[in-house]
Amino acid sequence: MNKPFRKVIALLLIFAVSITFSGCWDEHELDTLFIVTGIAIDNSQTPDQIDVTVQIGKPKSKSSSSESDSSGGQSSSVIIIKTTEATALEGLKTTDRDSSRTLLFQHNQVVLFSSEFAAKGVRNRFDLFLRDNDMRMEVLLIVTAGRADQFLTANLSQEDISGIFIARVMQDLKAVSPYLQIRLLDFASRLQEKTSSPLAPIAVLNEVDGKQNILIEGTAVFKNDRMIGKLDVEQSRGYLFTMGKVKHASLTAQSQYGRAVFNIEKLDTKRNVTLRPDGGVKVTLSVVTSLGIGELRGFSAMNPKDLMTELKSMAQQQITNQISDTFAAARSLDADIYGFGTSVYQKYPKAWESMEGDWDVLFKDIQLDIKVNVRIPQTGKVIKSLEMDVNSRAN
Amino acid sequence: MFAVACFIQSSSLLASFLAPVALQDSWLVVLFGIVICLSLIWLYKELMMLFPDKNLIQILEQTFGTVAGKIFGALYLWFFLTLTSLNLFDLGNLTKLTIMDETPIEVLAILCLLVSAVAIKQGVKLTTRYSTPFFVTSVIILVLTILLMFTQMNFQNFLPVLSQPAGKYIQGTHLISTVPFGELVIFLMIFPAVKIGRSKLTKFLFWGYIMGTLSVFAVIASDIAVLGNMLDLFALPHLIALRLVNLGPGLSRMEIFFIVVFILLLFFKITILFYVTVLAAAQLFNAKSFKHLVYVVGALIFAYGLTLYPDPVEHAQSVQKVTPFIWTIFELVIPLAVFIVAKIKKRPKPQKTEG
Amino acid sequence: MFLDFIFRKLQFISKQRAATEFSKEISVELPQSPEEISTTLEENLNAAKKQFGNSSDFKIHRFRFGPDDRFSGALLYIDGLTDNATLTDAVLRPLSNWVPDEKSPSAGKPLIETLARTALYSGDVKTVMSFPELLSGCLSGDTAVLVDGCPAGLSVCAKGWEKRSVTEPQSETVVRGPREGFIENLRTNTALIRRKIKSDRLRTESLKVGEKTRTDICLMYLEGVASEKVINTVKYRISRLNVDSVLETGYLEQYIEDAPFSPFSTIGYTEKPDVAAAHILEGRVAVVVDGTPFVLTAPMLFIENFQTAEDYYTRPLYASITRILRFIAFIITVFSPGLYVALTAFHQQIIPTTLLFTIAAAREGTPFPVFLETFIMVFAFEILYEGGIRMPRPVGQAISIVGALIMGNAAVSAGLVGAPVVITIAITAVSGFLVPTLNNSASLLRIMMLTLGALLGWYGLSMGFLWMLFHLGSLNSFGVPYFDGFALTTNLQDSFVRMPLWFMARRPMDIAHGDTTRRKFFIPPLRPYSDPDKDDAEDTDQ
Repeated sequence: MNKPFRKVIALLLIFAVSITFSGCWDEHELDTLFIVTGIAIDNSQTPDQIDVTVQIGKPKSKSSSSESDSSGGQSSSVIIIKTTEATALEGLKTTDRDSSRTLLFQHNQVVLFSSEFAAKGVRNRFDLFLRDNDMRMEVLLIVTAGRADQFLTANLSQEDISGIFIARVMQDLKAVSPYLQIRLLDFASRLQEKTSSPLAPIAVLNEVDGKQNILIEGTAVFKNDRMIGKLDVEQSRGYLFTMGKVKHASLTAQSQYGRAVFNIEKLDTKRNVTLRPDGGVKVTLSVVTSLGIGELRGFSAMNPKDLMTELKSMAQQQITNQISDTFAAARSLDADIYGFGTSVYQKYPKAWESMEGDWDVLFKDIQLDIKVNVRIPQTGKVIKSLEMDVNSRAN
Repeated sequence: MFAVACFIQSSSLLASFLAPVALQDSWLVVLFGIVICLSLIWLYKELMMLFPDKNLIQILEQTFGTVAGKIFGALYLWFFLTLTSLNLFDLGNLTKLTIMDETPIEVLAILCLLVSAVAIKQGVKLTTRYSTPFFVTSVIILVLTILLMFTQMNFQNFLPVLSQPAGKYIQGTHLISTVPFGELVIFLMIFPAVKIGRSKLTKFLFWGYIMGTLSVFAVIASDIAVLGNMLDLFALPHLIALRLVNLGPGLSRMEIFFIVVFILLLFFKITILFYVTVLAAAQLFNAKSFKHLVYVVGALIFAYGLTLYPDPVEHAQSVQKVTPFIWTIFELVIPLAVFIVAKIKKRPKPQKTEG
Repeated sequence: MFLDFIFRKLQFISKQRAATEFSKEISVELPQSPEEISTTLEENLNAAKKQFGNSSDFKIHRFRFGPDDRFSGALLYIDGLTDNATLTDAVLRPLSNWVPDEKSPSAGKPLIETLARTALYSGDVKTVMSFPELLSGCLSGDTAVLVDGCPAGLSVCAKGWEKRSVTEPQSETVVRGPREGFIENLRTNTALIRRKIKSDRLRTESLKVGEKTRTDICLMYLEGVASEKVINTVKYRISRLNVDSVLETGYLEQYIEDAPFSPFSTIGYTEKPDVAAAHILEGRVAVVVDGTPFVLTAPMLFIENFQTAEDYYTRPLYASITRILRFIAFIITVFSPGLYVALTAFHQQIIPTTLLFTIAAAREGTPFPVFLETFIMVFAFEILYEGGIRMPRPVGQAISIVGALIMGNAAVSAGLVGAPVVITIAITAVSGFLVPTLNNSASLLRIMMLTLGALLGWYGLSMGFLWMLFHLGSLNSFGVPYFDGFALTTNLQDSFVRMPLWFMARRPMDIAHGDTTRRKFFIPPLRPYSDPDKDDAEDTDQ
């Protein structure tokens, strides 16, 4: 009776002492935390230093929300903290130190880089985001036109917290194509591949009637870790078409007969990389797409059968044009935004070893073959457009 | 059977040490490892059949005589001790890394040891009985996570195949056969407590092995598919891969699954290793029952584990370069020697009398 | 030194426990009753009066009977325990009408025996030779008949006292199923079970336990089905008891159970005869104790906590769903508070962002740390629970409204506790009621998990859960493993889900060691009509 008792008591005491005397370490009460919803990094006035801006989402406490639910309360639910430091980590640590509560980065939605900052090279700022466990890999990376901290302080009409707003917008865009949203992981992955260019979407701040709005327009192109240029909206489209996996987008095509807006139900691209005898690379893109007819304008002089053929060829032409345009832009920027280099590596690892160094030249030299296969299974509710109908009856 | 599976599966989540070696061909290396280890399993099975109710220490004593046997036994005791400590502090470190950053690792380790002690005081039967639901749960969750990650997978990440220098493959295969798979040698200690017939033994071992290794394979393959060239960057690739899954506005934090399975499996492994260590100690020191030694050995494991490696980088280095060779001695060389000696001893008598 | 101090205190406690020499503790000099019944009536009566002191409810009724009132006798009984009508009809009237013939003896033991055989109308008469036995019979409600000149007495059973009628049990209510419940009377209870199991193999073994209470206990089991080992263990443990009183099965349970320190109980209890009968049919031993409507069943499996009688009366699909629901409810009730604290205080990254904002908003004004808040709410819930049981009926409504309003609404509006905490505790509380037999264990475990979760977050909870699993696995109930850990055995058919009745053909192997077949194997229901016009009877043979 004694021995087991003694053991049990001793153990319990040890356990109790070691637990209670040391306290609980990891416990962070929710009201001692600030939930970070966005981080912005800019170049600062002082050279070699960066401005780090942290946006904190303040949860509306119950009493205030019950009072001010109808009035669009000026109670801003966002707190902004700014510091200027040499590296991102120091910046974050300083904000942590200066704020009344600990910062919780686990729910951070976006990281914004200003384009000036991006132009100087991001790689050495990057390590923090990869290493710290609190930063998640799926944080979205966005390059901003203009200073990044303005985006965080923006007073949006649709949403209170701009970080969350941007994240939600990107979520919608992801439904269009997974290549539109760039997560930290994707960016870093591209950085790893020495020949590919990382990309990031560009956000633009608009002001309408006193209220601001953030739009995602275009894509920033990096080379290694510097931003060297951008693709505008159309060119970004071309990029998407090249990469494939596009859904729910729209395609506008024009010909002498009329203007057609298509709904892209599905667009998939396969790429086939082959080596040319002269040492260059030939890339064959096979685009297969299913379109639905969104809207037709014009086409008065056609009957339905010809219409379909015409529409198909219009779509084909448009897609091909967009892809080529983007490719030309990429060539002029000298950036392999498609990851063609990696495709070559994956298929011809031995040959790649010698080609890798010259990829800049070889990329410009790529022969791009585009084949587009368009199907139009759906025409919407009507079979013929009104204009066509009028004319055919008139005829 | 499930115990075997569970044991191996618990290594599936820790496969990060393998990645830097073979990168995108890690899955191939795992397959090679599976095949090669089959022979190791066969060896263990033979040993089990030769000595049906002796555990490893007793086998050693019987084969090599008391003195040499005890020496080998002590070596094995050290082996088990190291294994247990390594796993225990792995659990602690990785838990610290992911969910509990600031807690001192001692507390995590002590708590785990205490619960393990409660678990093994009844003998190993209870733990192996629980291995079934543990395994089934883990399999279900792992399959679920792999399915969830499916949308993130990019099968191009597997290319190019077989382009690494050949030495890497050998190193990788060696690594994986010894560190996770070869640790099955400890089942030689448990075997006497299990009452199954000879034919069933083969079947159970084999199927358990296959199930466990398949989970390792599945996990590694899915990690490669999702992470691509970032694979060797992370300490816990599967966790990172899981975090990328986003089912919708509310269901974006899937890593909870990882943590659940992780703690479960590692706990199981630690418990079995703990039991084996205590049993070995009891055998060597001729203790009447092993229950008395539980707390002593526990304290020893704890203290030993604190001193193992100064930092994770060294740990990783050592695991890649040094550990496989040491482990090979215990997992291959000595059992093989025992096997050969035992076979010789059996054949023997007629020849000796004649000669 | 501190350790020693505690250790000494505990030694003291354990020594006290070891002292079982109750019978030596005698402070008052009590009169010893004579061993023998003397031949003289007067001596007997005086001894009896002395033995009982001057208790006013101990009645002695002298009468004379026989031709010429030759014989004098006395009835000794305790008022309130006997049924006077029976007494008159069974004893007094026949005795006064009794006419001895020539052959009948006139004195001594043979006289008594003749009286017992021929004169008395009662069906339950015992001839008693020793005085203490006679008196203890009185104490149990029997009537003692003493005749002058006979060194023996008769103990006539004419029991009758106020007892509750058989009503629906309060603690186990069903929607569908019999609404009979045990009452406090031993014989009625055994009769209720007998009515369910009309097999001649149902054995009833009687024991008496308790120095002062002399409580009647009945062990009921099916011979050939129940395991010999269990029966013997139960009998041995009960007979080993040397206690003052056994007032309720709870006493017995605590004395004979396997794991007194575990939060889980290893002996089951029930208030319904159909449940007890079902357990007996499965091979368990039922212990019925006089004076309480709760019947013990041993051995017990963990799964039983999740089974209710109604499970078997409803159809398998729904029964399976409700059973799984109960499992989930148990997990919820034990882990919810701990989980809430662990997630919000330690692992905020697991909570989705929008939910986190909501919870953070609720936490904004509250003064206490989450652990304290949750602990206060759990504590408040326990108070409400206990109060709800104890409060007198008329006050009930008012208190429950006050409790709900105060705990819930006002506390939240005042900013003392956050709304998510209240919701969590409410769910915890309600889930606890799905598994009523585990409610006590759940309370203990809940607090333990709360502490673990508050100290070490998710890791602590996992370790707590694993500890609970292993602890359950190590429990044995009278030799039968308590929790077979979801092992893939045939017992699974009744654990998580309830297989259709016709599927569960064998009794659980662990418990029944005799006859294990309880149904003809696999009698599926008749297949549905393939042709509605054809009658089923035509369908069979021919």
